[in-house]
Amino acid sequence: MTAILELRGVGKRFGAFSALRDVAFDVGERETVGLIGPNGAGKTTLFNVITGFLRPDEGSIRLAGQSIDGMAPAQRVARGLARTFQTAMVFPGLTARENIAMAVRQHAGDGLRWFGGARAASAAAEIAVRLLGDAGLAHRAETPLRDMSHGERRIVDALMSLALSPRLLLLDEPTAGLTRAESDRLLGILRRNHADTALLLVAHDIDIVFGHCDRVVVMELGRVIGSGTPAEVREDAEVRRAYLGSTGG
Amino acid sequence: MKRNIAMVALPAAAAAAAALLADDFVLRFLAEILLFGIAVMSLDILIGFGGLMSLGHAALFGGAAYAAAIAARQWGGDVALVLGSGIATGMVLAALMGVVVLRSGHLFLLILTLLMGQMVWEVAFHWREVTGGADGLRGLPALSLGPWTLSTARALFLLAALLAAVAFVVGRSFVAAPIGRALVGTREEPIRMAALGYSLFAVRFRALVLAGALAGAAGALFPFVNLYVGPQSVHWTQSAAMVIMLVIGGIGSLWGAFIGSAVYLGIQTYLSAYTDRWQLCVGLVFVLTVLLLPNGIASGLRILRDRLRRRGA
Amino acid sequence: MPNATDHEGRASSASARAAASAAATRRLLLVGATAGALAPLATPALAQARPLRIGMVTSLSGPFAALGESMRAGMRLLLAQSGERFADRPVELIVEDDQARPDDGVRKARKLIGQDRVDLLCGVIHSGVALALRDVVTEAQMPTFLLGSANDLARKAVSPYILRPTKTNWMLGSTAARRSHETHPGARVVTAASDYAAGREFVGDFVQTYQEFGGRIGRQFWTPLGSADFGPLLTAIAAERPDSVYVFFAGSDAVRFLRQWKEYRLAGRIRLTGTGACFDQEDVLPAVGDAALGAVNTFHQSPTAPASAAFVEAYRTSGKGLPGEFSTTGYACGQVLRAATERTGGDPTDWARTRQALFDAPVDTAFGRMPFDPRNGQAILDIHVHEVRSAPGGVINTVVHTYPQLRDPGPNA
Repeated sequence: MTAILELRGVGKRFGAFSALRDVAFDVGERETVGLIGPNGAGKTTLFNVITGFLRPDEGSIRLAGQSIDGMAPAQRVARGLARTFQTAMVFPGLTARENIAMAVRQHAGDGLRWFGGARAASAAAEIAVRLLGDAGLAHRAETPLRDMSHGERRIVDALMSLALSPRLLLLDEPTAGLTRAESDRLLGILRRNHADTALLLVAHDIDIVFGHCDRVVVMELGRVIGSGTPAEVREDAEVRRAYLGSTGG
Repeated sequence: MKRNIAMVALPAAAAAAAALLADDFVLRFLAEILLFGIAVMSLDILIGFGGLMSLGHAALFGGAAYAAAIAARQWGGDVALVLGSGIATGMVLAALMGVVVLRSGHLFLLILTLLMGQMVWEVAFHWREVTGGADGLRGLPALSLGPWTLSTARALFLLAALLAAVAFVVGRSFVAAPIGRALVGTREEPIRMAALGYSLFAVRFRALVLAGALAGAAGALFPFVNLYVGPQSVHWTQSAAMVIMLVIGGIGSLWGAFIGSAVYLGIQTYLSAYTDRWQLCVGLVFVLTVLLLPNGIASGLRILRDRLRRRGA
Repeated sequence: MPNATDHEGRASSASARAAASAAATRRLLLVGATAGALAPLATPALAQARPLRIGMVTSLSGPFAALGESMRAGMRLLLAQSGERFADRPVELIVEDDQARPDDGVRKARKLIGQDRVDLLCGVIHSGVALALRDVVTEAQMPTFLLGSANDLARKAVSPYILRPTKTNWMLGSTAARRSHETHPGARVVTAASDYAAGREFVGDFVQTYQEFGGRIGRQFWTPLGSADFGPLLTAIAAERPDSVYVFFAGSDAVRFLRQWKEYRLAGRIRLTGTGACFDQEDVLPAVGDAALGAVNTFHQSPTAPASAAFVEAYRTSGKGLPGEFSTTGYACGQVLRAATERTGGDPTDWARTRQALFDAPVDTAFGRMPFDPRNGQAILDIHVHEVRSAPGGVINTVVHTYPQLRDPGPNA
């Protein structure tokens, strides 16, 4: 299996504080990789570096074999890299359909279109409704996001990123605040309907991570302290120490 | 459908009635309201839709006025030439402004647009050979369209009304198109937009250049209202007046810009006969609007209309 | 010109529509006002009973506020002396403030013309405002007595609707140069002036005339309007060691300059000459006292010229002290308006007749005998050379020489 994402020696400092140190791992095509670690481990910082919102101090990042160092976020998106954020960054005043259509238009190259805008807008709307339908939310297409439940909002948030047909999707705590059932539903949508997209997801619920991920990478204090299949990681001594230590006994 | 017909027929009828019945003073005054209305509407696209707070908009409007006046004095008052030079100047100035200003945060945007606007003022005030300096430019030829001379107040008013209608349609089209929605997106969730692959700079730059074109078209006809253009029209206080007009009229409504322009200019023209403190009155209206109708008079009218509809239903 | 019947016909059909719609009521008022305003013009007999409405645009706030107040005071004095009537016709004066800004001046002029429907327009101090108004009043065909003094107003910006009962800047700059050449031939002169249109014209005309006489001009200094500190300028002037200095500063700048001229001990050491406006009897000299003693200036207005004696006396009696340029200008403008009304049997809005009446014979004003040049409607004026001398209670511009009946070169200049 070829790697869709390759991190080598990635480091990031904020003044004297090292947020990331010598981070290196791969994500394979169509793989689902879980990224776990205690608070402050540097997971969100790593996401920001991978997606171009932060510039690393050292190391290299390759997407589908091509270096993406120094590229702006929009350029990385164009190459097939998408992400969500810890809070669902949706447009509260727009409907679910319009939210997703915003992403669809950009992916179709119509994001800045003026002439022929009506046709592009309706084409995008159709695709958006189809994505919602596949996720079981077609009946909510015309609902403004601010009127939706937290779980539905997270699904729409994920669908927005998936509308970009990314080869790799970074999900920063996509199941935070969701019930078990809602989490399973969200991840089920991701795995079933978008099986071609590799996923790198951060989650704190160990059961979710171990239940849905092909591999798990463990971080602590900015470094990778272990990686492997869920079973391997569960037995790893370093990992057990980190988690036992962080939960304070 | 009926609503659309009413939206077109009512303003058209009002314009025709004014053209037939109003005297020269009122016609020029209405033309001035319409031209400022167009400029303020283009500012609405930046502030209301894009969240880009600009205090340099008068530089686009007034700069185009100067360009049109200079071109007319040089090559005659053909409407195509006048509008063309105004639109081109508005777009170029907007592009320059955009390149400097759009990569910075919101507070810097406010200050930088103010500074860049004042740079235009400095040019207008000091480049005496071209702009007339502090004295401004006069001696403009009459506007003409092919064989017809458009020198009367009525002709100017009708031209301004036509331009306002076209500008409004263009503005609405832009705002409804993907680019317009992207602009709103960059205002609401700029980080998300970047994460969706949008270039924030590209979206905002296009909006700014469009606003420059619209303000430039309006500015091109402005010298022909007073048969004069001076540095006051590019001063930052004029930019501030436009923001006040926008707030009073209604941010985000596009057509509210014309209401705000009418209220401001109406107070300035008619109240200044009775008192020097007309600006105090404008300030009062501004404060009342912000307190009672934060989305401007346009929102108030909309609420009124909805209430009437409900009562009728 | 549409006749009254046309408008009344349109008015009655409009009134039928107005009954049906409240929105049209306002338009009805507009039409009615138009009809009402135009009707008198078609029937001259009615005109004389109707008050003569005169609109005055002047600066009542901003940098020229004091000058504008003086202009208004002068006009008001003339009206009071005339019993508020010209040729037995009551006169209404409406004054609007242009804030010394051309945009506001144009707006106010349009309002006076279109809304207040004045019969005649007058006023303006700031030349920029005057130039801006030129097209507006011409397009509106409004008879205007324009008082700004930029040279273009008598040359490139001439209009058949504008008469100018005041000076042009050239009259002052060129006579100062002539006088300097006549009294001190061969002197080396440096100039210092406020950097705006009027300053550039005064100095430009002085330099051109002086050089035509073969005189030598040293450095030319410029300061922005509203300067507070003239120290660097005065030091630089002293360093030049000129034979004399020709200056023009506007309003409060003149007061500050002259005070500092004395503080820097240049008074009495370098011959000081300048434009009369910089040594205005009402607005400058009272504030600078003996700092200006001995200075020579050229001006069309003088507190000591025989022609203005009656006006000076009346102005002093009204409690205001010695008059300066703008009070005299306001008064003289009123005198011209009165003469225009009297010579046309009470109807100065018959503009062709008014112009002819004023071109045929001069008007006696506080500036002296004032004929008008038919080429450009520009007044032909006596220009006095003043020396600032001591007088009981202060200093006074004393006439030492007069260039009589000076005519601006005009449109062919």
